[in-house]
Amino acid sequence: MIAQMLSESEGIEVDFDGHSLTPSFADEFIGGIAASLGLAEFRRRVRLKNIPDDSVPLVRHVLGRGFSRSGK
Amino acid sequence: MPEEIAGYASRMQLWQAIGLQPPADVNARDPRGKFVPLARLDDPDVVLDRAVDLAAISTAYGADRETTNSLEVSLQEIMNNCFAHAEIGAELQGLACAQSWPRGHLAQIAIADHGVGIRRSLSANPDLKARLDAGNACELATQLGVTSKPNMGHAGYGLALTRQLLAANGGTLLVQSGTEWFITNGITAREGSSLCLWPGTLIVLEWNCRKPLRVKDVYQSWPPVTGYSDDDFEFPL
Repeated sequence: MIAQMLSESEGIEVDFDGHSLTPSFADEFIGGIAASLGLAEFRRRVRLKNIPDDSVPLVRHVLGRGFSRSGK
Repeated sequence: MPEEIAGYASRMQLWQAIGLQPPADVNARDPRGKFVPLARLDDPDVVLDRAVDLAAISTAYGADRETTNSLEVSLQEIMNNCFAHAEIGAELQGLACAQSWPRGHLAQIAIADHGVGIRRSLSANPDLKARLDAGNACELATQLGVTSKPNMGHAGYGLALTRQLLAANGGTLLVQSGTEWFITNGITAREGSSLCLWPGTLIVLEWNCRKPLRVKDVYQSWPPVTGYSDDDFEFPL
């Protein structure tokens, strides 16, 4: 679904509504988008909202892994 | 089952959880937040609800929201493993329960499945063969990044997160699968083989109720990804 949204839209915004993320979900979902787009495109096209404070370092971690996998 | 255990098992609703009549009538005792009876894990969609129910054992003794949240995250990871890795064809994938000891300032959560076990599951990843041949599969499974399904949506976070979470608390993690077992409190670790076979995987989390559990601290301790700086992540989250 996200892949389709990215193909149809220039930008997407994902609102986590303050819900904590599990590492596996964060890695697959956020890391997956990062791996698909790479750093520059991710910064340009994706906005993540309302990530709870305890999940922020996790998001940074999976983003880094995703960008690394993308090679971009 | 020894009589001294049967009463407790009845109170924890063991027989009902596996679809059987209990052997003896035991007056249902109000848990009062001190225990959570055995709950079935038979549908991936119940994982979040089960995690919330089990983690609520911490609110009963006054844990802060972050501690309860951290438990919920850890438990979701472990219970999802029952569905993702245990390879169980039956409807009942596993069972989970919780117990606290207020005077002892301890609480435990136990999650068990009757799947293929950790060693067989990890054997599906050929990159782990040498490490499996050399060591204890249960200990290996608690290391960050160890998974049976790399690059398939599984990154090996669940047990590693739980191990580090409990270690920071001064708590204890026990993992038994087949005849192998591993136990650690963050300071000391022991592993071995047991004569007692568990045909699947049993995980017990035990923590100190007087200290918090903080997933945020665990995440911050994970090795940074090389090639990127903090500036690369300074965009609105």
